[in-house]
Amino acid sequence: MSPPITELKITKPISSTNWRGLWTLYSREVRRFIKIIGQTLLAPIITTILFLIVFVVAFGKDRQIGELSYTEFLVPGLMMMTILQNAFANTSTSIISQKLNENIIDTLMPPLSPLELVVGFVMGGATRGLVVAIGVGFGLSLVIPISINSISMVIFHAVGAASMMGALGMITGIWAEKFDHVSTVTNFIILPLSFLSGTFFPITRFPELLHNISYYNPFFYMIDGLRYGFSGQSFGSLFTGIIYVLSINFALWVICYWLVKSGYKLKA
Amino acid sequence: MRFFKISSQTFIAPVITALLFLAIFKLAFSGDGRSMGSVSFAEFLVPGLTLMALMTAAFANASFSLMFEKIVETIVDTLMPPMTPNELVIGYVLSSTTRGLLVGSAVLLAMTFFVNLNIHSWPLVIFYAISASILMSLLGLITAIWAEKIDHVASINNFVILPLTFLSGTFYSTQFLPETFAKIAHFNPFFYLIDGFRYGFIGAHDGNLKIGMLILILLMLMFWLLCVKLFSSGYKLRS
Repeated sequence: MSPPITELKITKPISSTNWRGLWTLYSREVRRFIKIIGQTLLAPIITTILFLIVFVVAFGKDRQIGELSYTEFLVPGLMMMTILQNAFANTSTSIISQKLNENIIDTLMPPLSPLELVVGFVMGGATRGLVVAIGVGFGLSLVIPISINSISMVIFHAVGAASMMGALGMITGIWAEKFDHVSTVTNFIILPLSFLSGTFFPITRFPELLHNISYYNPFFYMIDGLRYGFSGQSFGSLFTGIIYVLSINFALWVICYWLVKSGYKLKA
Repeated sequence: MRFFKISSQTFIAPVITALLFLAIFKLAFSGDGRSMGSVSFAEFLVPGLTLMALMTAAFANASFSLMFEKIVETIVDTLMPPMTPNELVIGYVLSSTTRGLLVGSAVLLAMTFFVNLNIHSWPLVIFYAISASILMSLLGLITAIWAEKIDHVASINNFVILPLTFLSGTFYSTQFLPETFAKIAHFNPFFYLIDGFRYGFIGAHDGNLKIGMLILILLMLMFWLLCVKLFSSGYKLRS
């Protein structure tokens, strides 16, 4: 006869979330980018402010886009651009460097479920994206009055974009075999998309064909949504944007979960 | 040879980035047919973007090459052979200058597909392209000798080189700046590089060309001597 179940009772059911482990992973990710704060926070803030100066000087302040002044148009675009680039950079470089240093095993070994690993990494990346964007917003608000039309749209799109790019960075980091691969994706996909999705000019400026394609570009909806949150003006459909952000986030998270679970290119 | 091995990062990436900038500015401006003096905005922009790519590449090559050697401690293999400090500086500077010029030519070539380019004066274009590469290579070498980690190089890049190139009239004429800023901009050596290089293309300039050349030649000489001195003293290179 088997022993009574009570004797084998584990104090904590195995299915519950490992909060402490999750917190440890998250704070490790955050501390990683804080350690190199010059490159991860200050540099993007300075670069973004430079973009603003250059564009405003080159265009003159008086230009209007729709009902918005050019700075009102530009600031949300720049903030979204920093979120996209930094959230992506954080997870992708963190994972690829752990892979190259062969200490990724120290992250995979502890009793963290694949979902917890995904949450830890993605939230770390999202935090960096949001912190940089807040830094940019704060820096810019010293020179330019920034008003907020709908705080919930601002938060939704900022967090949605940060989480999406964190997940995309994680997938890239897992797939990549060298640093080269990560920088290729950054230079040839992320950078062009974040530049050409209505950050600096309305997509109506595109030639017909590109203009139509832009309505399928998720980055366009995130930039547009954030811009709506600040200025109350949007150039695309807000509803499509929200559906897009939610469904892409969901899809990327599922892919991340599945990659970590299968150990693809992570475990030998 | 170091940079050919990673050609997608060292060549294609800067070309794409420069083209992106061109696209953004062209599109953002389209519709109001704005021109800068006698030339279209695109013609104004191309020399600035080309030189920016060239300068960034030359600086990056010199600084990262030397920095990596220091970090992986193979620098001794470069210092040991019987080469005088002057020869070492020439070697490093020439290779980085090559990368800068190659990137610059690639960017320019790519842009000719989109913008009609006229060249006002070949000798000036070449003079400024070469002096910009040499100046940035020397600056890269000095940075790498001084730096102790990649972080230091990246900081110089992000907080000194990038702002100076962005704000020295790459994207706009300094005439657009408020008076005081325009005056300050005229103390920026990068401004003279871009202004002169652009003059070679479009035949118009904002600043004084003679002063510009003088400043550039003096700076090159100064940085060169500094480099040679650093190499011969072994500062932060030999323990």
